[in-house]
Amino acid sequence: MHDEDHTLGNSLRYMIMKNPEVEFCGYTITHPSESKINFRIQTRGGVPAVEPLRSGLNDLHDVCQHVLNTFQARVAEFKEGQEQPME
Amino acid sequence: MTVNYFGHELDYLQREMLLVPIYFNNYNGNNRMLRRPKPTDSEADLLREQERFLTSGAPSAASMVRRPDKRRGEAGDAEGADSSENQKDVVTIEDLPDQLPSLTPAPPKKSRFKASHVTFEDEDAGESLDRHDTHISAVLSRIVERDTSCATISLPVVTGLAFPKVLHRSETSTQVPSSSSKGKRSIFARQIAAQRLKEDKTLKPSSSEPRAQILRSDAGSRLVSGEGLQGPDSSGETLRIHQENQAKLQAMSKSEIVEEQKKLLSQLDPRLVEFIRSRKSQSTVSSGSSSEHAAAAAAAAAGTCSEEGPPAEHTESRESCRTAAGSGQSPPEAEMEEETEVKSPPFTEEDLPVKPQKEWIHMDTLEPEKLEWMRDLPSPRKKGTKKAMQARFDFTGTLIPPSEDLPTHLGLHHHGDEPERAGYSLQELFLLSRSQLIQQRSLALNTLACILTKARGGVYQSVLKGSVTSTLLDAGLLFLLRFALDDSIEGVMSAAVHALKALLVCAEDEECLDCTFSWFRGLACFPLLPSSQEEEDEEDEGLDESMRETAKEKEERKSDYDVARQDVVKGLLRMKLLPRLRYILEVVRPSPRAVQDVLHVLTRVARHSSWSAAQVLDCPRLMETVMSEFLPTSWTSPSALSPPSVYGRPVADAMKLLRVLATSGRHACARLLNSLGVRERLSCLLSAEPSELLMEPNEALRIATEAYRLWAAAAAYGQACQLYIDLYPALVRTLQALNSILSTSDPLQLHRLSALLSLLTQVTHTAGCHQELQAGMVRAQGEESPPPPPVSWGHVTGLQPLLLGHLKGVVKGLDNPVQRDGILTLIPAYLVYLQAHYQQLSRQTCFKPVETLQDLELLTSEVLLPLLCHDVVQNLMKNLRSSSVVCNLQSSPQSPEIAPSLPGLACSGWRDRPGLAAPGSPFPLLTGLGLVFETITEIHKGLSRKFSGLLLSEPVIGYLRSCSQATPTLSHSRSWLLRHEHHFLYLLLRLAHRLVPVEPEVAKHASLYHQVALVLLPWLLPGSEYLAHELLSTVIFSKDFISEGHSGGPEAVELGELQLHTQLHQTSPSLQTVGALLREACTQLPSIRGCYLTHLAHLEQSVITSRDLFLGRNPWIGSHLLPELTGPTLPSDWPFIPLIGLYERAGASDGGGLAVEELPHGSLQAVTHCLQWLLLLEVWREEALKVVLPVAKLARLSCVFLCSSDLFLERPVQRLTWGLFRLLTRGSRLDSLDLDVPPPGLASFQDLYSALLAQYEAVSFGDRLFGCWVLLPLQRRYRASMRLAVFGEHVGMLRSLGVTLDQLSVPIERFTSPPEDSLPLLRLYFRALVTGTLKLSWCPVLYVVAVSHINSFVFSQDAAVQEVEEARLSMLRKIYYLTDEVLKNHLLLFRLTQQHLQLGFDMYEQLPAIRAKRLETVLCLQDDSGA
Repeated sequence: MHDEDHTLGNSLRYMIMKNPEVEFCGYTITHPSESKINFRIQTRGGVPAVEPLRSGLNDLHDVCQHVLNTFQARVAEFKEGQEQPME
Repeated sequence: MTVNYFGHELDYLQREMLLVPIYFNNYNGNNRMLRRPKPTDSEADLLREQERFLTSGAPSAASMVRRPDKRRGEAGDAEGADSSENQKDVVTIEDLPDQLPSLTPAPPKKSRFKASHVTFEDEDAGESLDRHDTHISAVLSRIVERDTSCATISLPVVTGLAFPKVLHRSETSTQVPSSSSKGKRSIFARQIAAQRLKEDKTLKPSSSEPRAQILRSDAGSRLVSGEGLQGPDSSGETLRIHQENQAKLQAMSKSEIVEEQKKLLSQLDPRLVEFIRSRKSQSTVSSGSSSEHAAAAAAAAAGTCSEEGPPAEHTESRESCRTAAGSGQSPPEAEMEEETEVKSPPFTEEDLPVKPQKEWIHMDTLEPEKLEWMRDLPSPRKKGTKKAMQARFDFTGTLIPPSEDLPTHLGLHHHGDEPERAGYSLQELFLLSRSQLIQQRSLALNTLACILTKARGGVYQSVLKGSVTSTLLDAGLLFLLRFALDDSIEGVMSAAVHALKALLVCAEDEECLDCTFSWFRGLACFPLLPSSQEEEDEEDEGLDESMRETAKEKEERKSDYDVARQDVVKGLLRMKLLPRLRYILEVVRPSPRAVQDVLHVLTRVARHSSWSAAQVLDCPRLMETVMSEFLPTSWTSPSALSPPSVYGRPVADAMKLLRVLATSGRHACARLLNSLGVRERLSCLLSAEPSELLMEPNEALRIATEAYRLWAAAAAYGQACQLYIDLYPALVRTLQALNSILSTSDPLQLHRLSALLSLLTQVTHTAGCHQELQAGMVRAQGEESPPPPPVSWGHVTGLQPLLLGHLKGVVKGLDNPVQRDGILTLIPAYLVYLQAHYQQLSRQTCFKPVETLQDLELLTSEVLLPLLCHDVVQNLMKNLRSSSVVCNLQSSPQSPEIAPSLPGLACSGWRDRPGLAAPGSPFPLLTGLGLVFETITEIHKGLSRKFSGLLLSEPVIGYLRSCSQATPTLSHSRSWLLRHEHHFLYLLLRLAHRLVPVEPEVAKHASLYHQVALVLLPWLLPGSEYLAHELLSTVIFSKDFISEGHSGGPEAVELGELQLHTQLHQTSPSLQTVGALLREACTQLPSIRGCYLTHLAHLEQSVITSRDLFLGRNPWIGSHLLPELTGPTLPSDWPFIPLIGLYERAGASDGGGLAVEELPHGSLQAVTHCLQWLLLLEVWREEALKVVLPVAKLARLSCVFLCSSDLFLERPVQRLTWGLFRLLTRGSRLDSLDLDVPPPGLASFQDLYSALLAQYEAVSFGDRLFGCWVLLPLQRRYRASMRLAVFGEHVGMLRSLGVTLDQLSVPIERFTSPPEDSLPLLRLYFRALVTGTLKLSWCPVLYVVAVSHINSFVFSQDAAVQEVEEARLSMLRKIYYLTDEVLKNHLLLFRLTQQHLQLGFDMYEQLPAIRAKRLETVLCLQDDSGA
């Protein structure tokens, strides 16, 4: 994956490792000064490796979305709470 | 001893002084309630103020303590200081404090010169200055007010006089009888005492009162100070306590006291005991001298006896602290004073040598203290030689034992530190050598020279601690000698030269080197450089090459001292030694001995390195002087009349200097020959017989020998060969005189002949290269190429029949016991010559094979075989093992006398003990034979069988066996001998290489030879790269030598492994393949060899250089000085080189992310070959890899995983690594694998392991082999930090670490027992289990491990600290409430690990009663606390 580093690599690996079909998942940084990562996935039972990657990316996206939504909701809540006493 | 009185009732003067602390007290603001006294205050005001202060009970902010003087810190010193202080008369005027309050908490100023100052009896000026030198800080510190409520205070005596009565000297002696005064007291003191006596008499009639007072003041306990006591009468209390103690002591019996004492001693802090003892010793010494105090002292001693130990022990402790004061130190002065004080009766009139006459003015009173110096010296201590003493030497450098009482007329006594001991210490000699007096200087230098010579000989080794030479060098001997060289007095200067020579040159080393000159490659020697300890500063690390070039500048910036400390010779050259020596030789023209010393020093300097040799050559007019003065072209015969001088006459040492210079390099040699005119000298000295040289016969022989050697050195560069043609008749004439030489068997003659033979050998080599050079010149056509030497092969062919004839005669002469020893020294030289001849002959165009073969057969049958079978030679061969250096490392004496900055060969006494160079060593002869065999068999293969006798003889096989077990270490003192031994071993192996395929007898020992080859390879020293290359390309990878490889060996290994299986109940498929792998490796040996040779290709240049040296390709040789001795040519872990090389190139820089396709071409092949070779060695040649630590092996094999992302997945690599893994984890091997030792080349195994873990996490694909590799260091006996790394930082890898218990051949008990005791690790285990990171299906091994540890931890009955106990309870509780029933059951019901079960452990059916009970109590506890 080009233009990626530990930010995606580590979290994506975490997500993919949750997948029971996956036997191994790991990533390496090719070189500290290159912004590239190598991603390795091994699956069980003949499932193509792209599948867990795709689902992992989707899951990660969902998780991030969830985090973002929750965060925004809380922020909104907090701001309301701030404003009320002002009034 | 002095007490400062601070009372309430003070007279005005005292109050003035006391005001100072109070003033500051208020000033500090600690006590603002109190008013500040003003100058206008009346006395009543002040008293009121003081009253108020005291009643307020406020602590006085400033407290006054008398601090112990730091200078009296040591017990030993304290005695001295006190005893001297005791002699001072202390005048106590009772109403005045006898001393100013000591306000010196600031460290007392120490004066270095104080000790040497003149001091007066009653007042030491420095001390008094110190005392009065109070700083402001002195006042600001803590001041303790003493309780003086019960101190006796007497009001001033009312006198009728306004002023004290003037005291007249004449009255003093009459007033007080001197006998009553204790010791000597000043007049003033005596007067005061007399006055007091009078007063006492008038006031209290009983005269016993003063004595009682003294007793009282002294009888107080030394330990009970009463400082902590409150209340008004603390000192009285103290006294009561003391009396009680004493009463108790008296009630006890002696044995009881001793018992109690022991008890106390065992309980008390030893430092405290020491302190008490030191107090005691102070007091006893102080009171010891006065007879009046004796009773008091005895009482005091008895009083403190319970805490102190018997007096005997006390003196012992004093003794011990004196020894501790240091070796080489004089005993503290105190003791001496004490002794003299006690022993000597006072001087009386009878002792005077001259009786004072009546009419002499001022001579009527005897002043004994002024006459003290006239006493006889105390006799040296007879006993007490156990303790370390300052070493003292006489003028010949002999150590004088401390107890020896030498007569004074020997002149060895002097006014030094210990006047009663004869001889000079090194310090005193140093001092004397800078004396103003010429005689003292030269005496000191000469003595130093004698000491150095003896030290070199190892005379002091058993007697003195440490090395004399290094001590002297550390003390700056070098600078001292250099200064002394500049002395204008010739005697001193030549003494300095002598000392310098004694320091630098060891005559026996030089003899040894001369002795080996005519051996094979004896011409070459290692530069005598100190082994460089690279202490490059870290700041340079990151800089690139261009910045590094400043190393030279840095070298220049270093001070002379630093240079000299690392390298003596370099330091001397920096100090401009050479110009000075030149001046000495040219201008001063000293005595013959000094000249020889200078020449020896120059020789040693030239031996240091080729750089220093160039310095000698470059020094202006130095070599010119040597040439013109000591090697003149014409000279007159020595006449008995003229004073002895070496000027204008040839000196052998000068010739030797030239030879050593010539050895250092081709260029240096050419300079000598051409610009300095050595050529003329050679022809001049060698054209005539030594007896015709108009010189003393021995000197003539020596100079002729050295001249031949110099010529041989020159010929070894292909130079000075024209001279050979010119001097040919003279040379032949000398050769023809062989028989007369043998009959005399004069060693000098023999040396001369061997030197001549060396010369002929070198000339033969040079002539052999003539054709090649000629051809090269024709081809090059004007390009740069070395010109052919003037000698061609035709010039030297005539020598061979002559010398062969000689050899035949000589071998026959071996039967003659008179000539035997002489012949044995000559034969090696002949053999080396023959080898040179035949080796070069086979390369000539005129080579006629058929004739030569016949010749060789004749030679073999007529000379070589008779020689080999001769009784003398056979007997010599029995000495092989005893004279070998490789096998006798332990027995060879260590030579601590060699300072690291000045390496030497440590040959002292070489003639007397068995050694390689000693007479009776078979090595030169056998090496010569081996050489000839090697060359002959090269030409005539059929002859090789005839020489199998050498290899099969009993002593040789025994010798090889002990060699294969040996582990020699490297140092200058050995390397020069090891080199020759390596030659011999190499030649034996070469012979074996020829014989093994053809001779079944020899082939039986093939594995022994292979073993020897494998151990020899990493021993080879710099300069022997050619031998290493030859060994690698022939013996090491030869199928013939791996005899196991073709006779069903692999199958045997397979069977063995199978057997292993059935024992261990293991079924791992990978194990059975070892046999197949071995078979494969055996077929691929040639490509394995190719792989290793390419990986060692960086050594090619040095291989070529050393090949030129070994094959005698003289015109191409740059220098006969071997490369600097830095270490062996090949590292001891050379079989791992391809792996390490690949890791360094690919793995380290790219973080191991490269795929196999991206690796350098052929890497996979190289790794496969490397692993094959390692497997082969591991199975069949375990001994050869013995030198590599198991942890180092593991670390190096880890490179397989680290150097690329999928190299380990390649099938051949995987199979081989499995095989190696199984071999490394066999039961016994596992025990020897110690991961705490940092593997060589790595900082710690921990770092490597972290890298492995990261690599595993990233690229492993759950590979089982990699998994096993990662699991191996997690065994319980290794450090917890590695387990913490797995469970802390790399938990992710637990997801894919699917190694099963079967696959891991290590027993699971190694992981589980003993129970884990690291709490953080247990918490991590627990967390991993509970969070589901560690699952049985994902990582069975670690699951079992974690469950087992948690289980045993939770149910452990051992008492533990509270924290652990709490963790235990909370963990148990958490387990009980776990929702995951399976895990909960596993954790609670775990019973024992069972490797063969599916789960890896078995479980209880239900919780055993004890555990159930415990669980219940824990839960109840929690319920209680919850409720």
